[in-house]
Amino acid sequence: MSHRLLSCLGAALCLLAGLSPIFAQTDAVPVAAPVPALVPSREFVIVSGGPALRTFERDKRASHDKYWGNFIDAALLRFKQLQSQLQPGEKITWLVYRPGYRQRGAEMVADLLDEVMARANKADVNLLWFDRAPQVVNYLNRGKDRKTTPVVVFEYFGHSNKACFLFDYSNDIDGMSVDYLHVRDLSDISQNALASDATSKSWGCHSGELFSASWKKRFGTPMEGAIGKTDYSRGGLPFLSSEGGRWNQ
Amino acid sequence: MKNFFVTTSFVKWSGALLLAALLPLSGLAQNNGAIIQETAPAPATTSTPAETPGETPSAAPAAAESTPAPAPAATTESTAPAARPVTPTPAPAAPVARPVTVTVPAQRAVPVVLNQAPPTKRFSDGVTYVGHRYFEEKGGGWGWIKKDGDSWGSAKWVAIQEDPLRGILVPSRKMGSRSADQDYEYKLTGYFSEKVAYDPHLDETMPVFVLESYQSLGQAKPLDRKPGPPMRFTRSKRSRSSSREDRPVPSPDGDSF
Repeated sequence: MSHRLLSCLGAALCLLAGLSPIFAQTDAVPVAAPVPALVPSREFVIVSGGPALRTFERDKRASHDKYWGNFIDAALLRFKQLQSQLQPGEKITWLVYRPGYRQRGAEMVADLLDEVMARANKADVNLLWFDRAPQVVNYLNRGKDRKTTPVVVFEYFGHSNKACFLFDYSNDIDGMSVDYLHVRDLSDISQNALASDATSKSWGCHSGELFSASWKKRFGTPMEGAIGKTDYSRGGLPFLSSEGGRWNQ
Repeated sequence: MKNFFVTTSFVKWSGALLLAALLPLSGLAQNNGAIIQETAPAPATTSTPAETPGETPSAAPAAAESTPAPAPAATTESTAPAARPVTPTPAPAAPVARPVTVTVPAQRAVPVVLNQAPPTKRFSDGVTYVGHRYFEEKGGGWGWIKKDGDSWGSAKWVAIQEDPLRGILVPSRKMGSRSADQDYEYKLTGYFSEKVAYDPHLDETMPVFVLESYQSLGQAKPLDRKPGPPMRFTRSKRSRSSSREDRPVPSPDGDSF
């Protein structure tokens, strides 16, 4: 009898061992549903122009760029504001006009290129130098496959007038520019470079008086620009400094 | 027969068979193929060598420079997530490794330079030029420059590129004001750059003369020419018939910034 009882108990124990996972508190790693890696589907592009040389500007009534980093610091602040719009894995692409900072750095006896790179690293953005204006056009057209990764945000920090982004100003030549993007050059940029719902903004002077309208005509999306001047002298993002100045699209 | 079902050996065999049947439902064998392990994030920068700063690239025509550029984001692409959807494969029957977070030390960025054009060697072309200075209150052009011996009719309205770091400056900087050398003439050495200067105050473009040295020839008679590049005059002629939209309109104030 005792043998029979022991055998039954053994069988019962085996049965319970087989069924135990059903009742046990789970300590196993849960099985997650498969998540495919995402293809980057959009790009944020910020462009910073270069500063003037103080040699050319210091004796002028309206002297530009007493501080070398106006267009750098403003962009960095803007990066922080745009962070909330980024999806996981996305980074802002920052195009910076290299000759301006190289030459201003030579004038200041300082390595401004190194300084810009350090700030880009800290801000965790993709820094790309450009030396000539057509390179910006090239990047907008072909930097990524624009069919799958259009530009959804485009912003510009730098000198400008109503017709032109002046990546270089009063650096190579006093009071003039040798690298610029004129409204006449907008036709070089593919209309497909920007997404149909892209947002664009120029933080330079006077863009809202002509450049914005030309931009909208070309790409079908508005560009916010200033009526009047913008002033970077307080640090951070520039403010409207002309009487009656306003932002316009 | 009855005895067979109640024997100890039968009970043992039954238990063993029952255990074998229920084993797959236990936690001892797992299928975690669906779990995606995080890989250590790639470094924030690549080791792409930076372009050596130095020569200014040649101002190739925009059409040439609009040829397809290599994707400049070698820096970015190497840190970007995989470009294609990944079908997870079933993991082997082993305990699942938990995602690993790796702190990557900050590295110095070595950004890529977009579509770098080959540098242009700067040199004087050995030609002697003569320049006639004309100061415009609102313009950025310097005056007219022609080859020594040519007529003033062939002279070009130019912007002058100085080199402050080498001490190469236009004569007026030593004379106290930009208009101090109005109608002075100079013998100049230098060359015409491939760059084109844009005057944002007047919405004009003009050639660039890179100054290397000058010798004053003193004040001369004013030239019988109107100041400004050719486009200033063709634009004036066109304005009679063109619409307002065609015309680039300069900013109303002298300083457009």
